[in-house]
Amino acid sequence: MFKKISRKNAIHVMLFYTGGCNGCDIEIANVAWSPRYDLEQYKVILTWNPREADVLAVTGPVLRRTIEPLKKIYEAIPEPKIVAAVGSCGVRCGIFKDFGGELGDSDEVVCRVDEVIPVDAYIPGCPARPEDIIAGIAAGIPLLLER
Amino acid sequence: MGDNERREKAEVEIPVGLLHPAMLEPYRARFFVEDELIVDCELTLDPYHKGIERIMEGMPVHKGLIITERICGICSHIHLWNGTRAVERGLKIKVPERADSIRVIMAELERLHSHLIYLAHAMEVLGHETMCMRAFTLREDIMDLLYIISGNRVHYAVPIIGGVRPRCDIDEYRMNELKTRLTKLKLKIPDYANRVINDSMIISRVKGSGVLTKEEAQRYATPGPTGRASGWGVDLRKKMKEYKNYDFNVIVLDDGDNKDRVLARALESIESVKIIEQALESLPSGPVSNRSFELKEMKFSTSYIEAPRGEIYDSLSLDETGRIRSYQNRTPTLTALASMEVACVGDQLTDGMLTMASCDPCLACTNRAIVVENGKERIFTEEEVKSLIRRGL
Amino acid sequence: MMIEFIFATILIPLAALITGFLIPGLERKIQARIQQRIGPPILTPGFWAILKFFYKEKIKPNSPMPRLFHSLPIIGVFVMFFAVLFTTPKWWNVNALGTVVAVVGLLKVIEFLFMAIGSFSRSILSVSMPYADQIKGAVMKGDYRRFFEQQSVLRAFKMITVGSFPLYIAMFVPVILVKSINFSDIVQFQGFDSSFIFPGGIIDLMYLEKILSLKPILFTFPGLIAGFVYFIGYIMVLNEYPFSIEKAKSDVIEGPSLEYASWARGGYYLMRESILFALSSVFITLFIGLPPTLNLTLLVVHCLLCLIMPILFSIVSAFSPIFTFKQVYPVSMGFTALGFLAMVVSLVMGVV
Repeated sequence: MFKKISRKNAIHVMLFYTGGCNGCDIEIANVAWSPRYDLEQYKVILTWNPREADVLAVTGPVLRRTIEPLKKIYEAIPEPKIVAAVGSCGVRCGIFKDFGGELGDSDEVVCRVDEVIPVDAYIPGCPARPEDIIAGIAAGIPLLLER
Repeated sequence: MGDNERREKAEVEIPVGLLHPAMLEPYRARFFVEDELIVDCELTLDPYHKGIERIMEGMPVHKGLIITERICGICSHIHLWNGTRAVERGLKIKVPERADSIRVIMAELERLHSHLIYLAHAMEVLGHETMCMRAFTLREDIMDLLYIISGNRVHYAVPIIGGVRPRCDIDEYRMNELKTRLTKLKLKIPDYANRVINDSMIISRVKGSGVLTKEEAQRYATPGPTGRASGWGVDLRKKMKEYKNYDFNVIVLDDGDNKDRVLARALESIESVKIIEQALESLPSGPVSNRSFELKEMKFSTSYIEAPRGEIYDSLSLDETGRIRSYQNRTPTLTALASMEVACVGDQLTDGMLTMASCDPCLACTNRAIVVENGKERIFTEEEVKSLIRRGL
Repeated sequence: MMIEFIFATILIPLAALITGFLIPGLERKIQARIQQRIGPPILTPGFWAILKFFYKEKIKPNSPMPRLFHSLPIIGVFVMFFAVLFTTPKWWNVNALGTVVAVVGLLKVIEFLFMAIGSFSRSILSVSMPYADQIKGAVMKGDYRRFFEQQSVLRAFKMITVGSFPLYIAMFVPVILVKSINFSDIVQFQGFDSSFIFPGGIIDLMYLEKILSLKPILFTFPGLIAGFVYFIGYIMVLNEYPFSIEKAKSDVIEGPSLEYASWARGGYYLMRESILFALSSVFITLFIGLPPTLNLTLLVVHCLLCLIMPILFSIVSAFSPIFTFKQVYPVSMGFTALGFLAMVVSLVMGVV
């Protein structure tokens, strides 16, 4: 009983950026540090340490150099954890992949986020709006309570 | 790099990794310290390379220019404007005057919001959360204005080839909103800047650290407000034809330390508000877009523009059906970071991180060219990039 | 006698624990209101966060000695509870432990604990991040690479050398005024005697006029200066803004405690709360003259008075950036000089 109440009352979110345009990262910074969308009032705290986190928010298409760090950081977070893919680059690589048809793609953009780690919540938008980010993280919390 | 020599040995190396709260982008920096004083540093930006220029090859030019906007999440309008400007100059398309004024208004609004992010981020790196949150509160007004005019908070897609999207025309409602919010901002931004300057704890951290002299700024071609804070630099806006009707000052300061870089951007924000007010007073009437052109082959044409961080260079060439043959983009953070590698030597490690963040880096724009030669990779220095530009590639 | 001794040893740390749960929440709420936003609920950072960490998966940290690494916060919690116990009347007669010198010794253990925690931690966020640095063409290959936590340990060492003077000088000013290092003499000087602890029962409500009849050292001239210097020393020992160079978010992310996860992180939060409470409680005993006793009313008043210092420090830290050593050295020396002034004035007052 205490398990569910305590997991609902204190949630730590961590941000990892794999190489997008930085718009979604600034919107997440807006959510955490702007008094208009204050995230702390919903009992969610922003942290930079994977050992402390419950929720991992990933933005950006996965590039060649950031696959390994993404896997290592995902493994460093203790269970129970959920992953939220933020922005249209996190959901399906945005406009950096499959945009030109038969012209082909760049080799640097390797794959989507959900081919590397399992994703629980998808938050679309280019960039994702702050209200949608809060709603998306809140939608993934019931999954956290049952694990 | 260049003609300063690097040391062979240092005591300790502290690598600062791909995930770090000082800059919200993936980068890798290796600081070589001896008992907290930095003696050298090396910054690599290649985690970020996406191959945008390769993606754009072969696309129809209307579609390709959408991608230029998503090069950076802060200075998105200025990249798109520069690309359309290059196409218009190459194909000799005439742009109506009302469209030019609206493009200038959006560019100055973007400069305001970019400088406010910079101030908030510099305060956050200093450790002062309260001033960081005050700057983000001020910025919300500008984001509301951008949303009202264009429909999105970032990536506005206002310019099209031949003018401006008809949805973004400034009618009476938007004019009233702009005027009321700008009068409020005109009082609040100088108030914020005064509060930063009069706080002795912040000034003791920021003054005298990260000094970049005028000779070093000239040698490394430091762009934008970073160079102007060291006493050198040109503001390209004085040479652009779209700005010739407006009256504003160019801010040039002397000392070249972190305080001057912060102060230069705060003063520039006040000048931006002046430009927007003048543009709103003298908004010419007429159509906002000119659709009577046709796309044909274009050899290559270039365009320079002044972004919030410095000067941007774009060059495009098209083939007969109007598809992009090649695209080249060079952004200011490349040389700004190179000058910061020199400026942070001699300070403590915490001040070194502040210096790196104080040149307002936008690493998303920066990483352009990695050449693979004989199976080995090589990252270009700025000398090599400049020589490629001079050779017209 | 023995029963009351055991009762005090259990009840007073329990009161410390419960008051400690409120302190981080009050701190964040006050800072949030200064920043013009609604902050978190008061129990969230201090109580529910610790409970949540206890229910997480146990992992093996990246450390050369994992079991010692995990046991260090528990040692810290017990050390701080003993520091509070040494100031209670039941413990004064236990063999020279009811003295100021014993509490100073325990504080030195706490300062050393931060260094020990940092030496055993190797986080993935610095050197072990999988990135190819040592490639052909890199600057200065093959030299010694240091983790963030080890850099924090060096900074903690410098803070011990320079930043602990204000606290200890301020703690000895009451000793000079009273001419004794025993807690029993110090509180008696300020008007507290055994008639405060009613021998018959534990709950009694006629104490308000007795509490108001105390003559605290804080309201004398050297006491006021020494109280102010103690407050600055309190912020330095806790490594909070503006003296938080050891845990600066802009370069070492979190400092020595990067590898703590699940229940060990809960223990680390508990250690921080117990230090916050214990230093404040020692201040109330030394400078106001009200130690934690077995009497429930007095204990509640003592715990409420202990909340004042964390509230003041959260207001100060909301308005200040992080100082580097270029600024810490002069500020610390300045406050040490102020503490010396208070010592000299109290010596003169004692002679005259």
